Amino acid sequence: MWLLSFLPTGFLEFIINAVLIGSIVGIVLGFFGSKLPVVGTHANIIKYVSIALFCVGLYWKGGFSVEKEWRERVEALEVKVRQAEAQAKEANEHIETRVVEKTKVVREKGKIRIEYINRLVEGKTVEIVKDMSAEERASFEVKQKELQDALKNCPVPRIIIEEHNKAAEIK
Amino acid sequence: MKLYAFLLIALLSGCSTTVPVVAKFPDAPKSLTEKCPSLKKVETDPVSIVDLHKTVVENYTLYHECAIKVEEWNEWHVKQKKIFESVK
Repeated sequence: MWLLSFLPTGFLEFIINAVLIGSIVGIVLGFFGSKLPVVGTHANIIKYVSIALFCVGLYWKGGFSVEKEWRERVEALEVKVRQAEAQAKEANEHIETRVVEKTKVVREKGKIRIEYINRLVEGKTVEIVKDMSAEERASFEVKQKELQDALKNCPVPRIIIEEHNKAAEIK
Repeated sequence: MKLYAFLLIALLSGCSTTVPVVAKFPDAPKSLTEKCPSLKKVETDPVSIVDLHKTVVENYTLYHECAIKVEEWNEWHVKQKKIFESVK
């Protein structure tokens, strides 16, 4: 039956129906057409061959209906698979875009924090303080001085760095 | 005997049905399969508190990047599994 899968459905249906109709015509001719000049003495042969063909045609018809059902199922499944592939592709693109966007935001945030401290250290605070109120500015300047004092007077102990670096290692 | 064998094979061929449609589970996006990088160490000597702050912030960034990948990987798997299981 798997051989049938190589043939188009319409062609198969035509062949099977042709065999069935031809065999029915042959059976009728075999039984009742013995007096016809074309059939004549061949009536018996036509009758038996037609009965055999009818059996084969009936077997094919049954097999074909199963094959047709499978083909319909395969077609339906193919449509589903195509839809799923499209959905999967869309989901992949969506997730990929989201990862890129989120990563960009996280990197930007880290960069801003580092730059902020660098500006404080370098004293480039004009942009930072321009929108601050006098009170906020005073508080900010205290923090900036505290940082600059710490930089001058408080070196980071080596043990802290070593422990930090050990913690950063995966092993 | 040969005729019976032939008939048996011919009849059994009716039982064979090929289903050529196979749904393939999709590959994960490349950005999700990348390995998370190792955390950074403080390399300068002497180390100022600013250098330490920089390294810590960079490591937080690396953690957040990796966390995004893990979250999105889970999301990807849940979504793709749902899509894959709908083809049945």
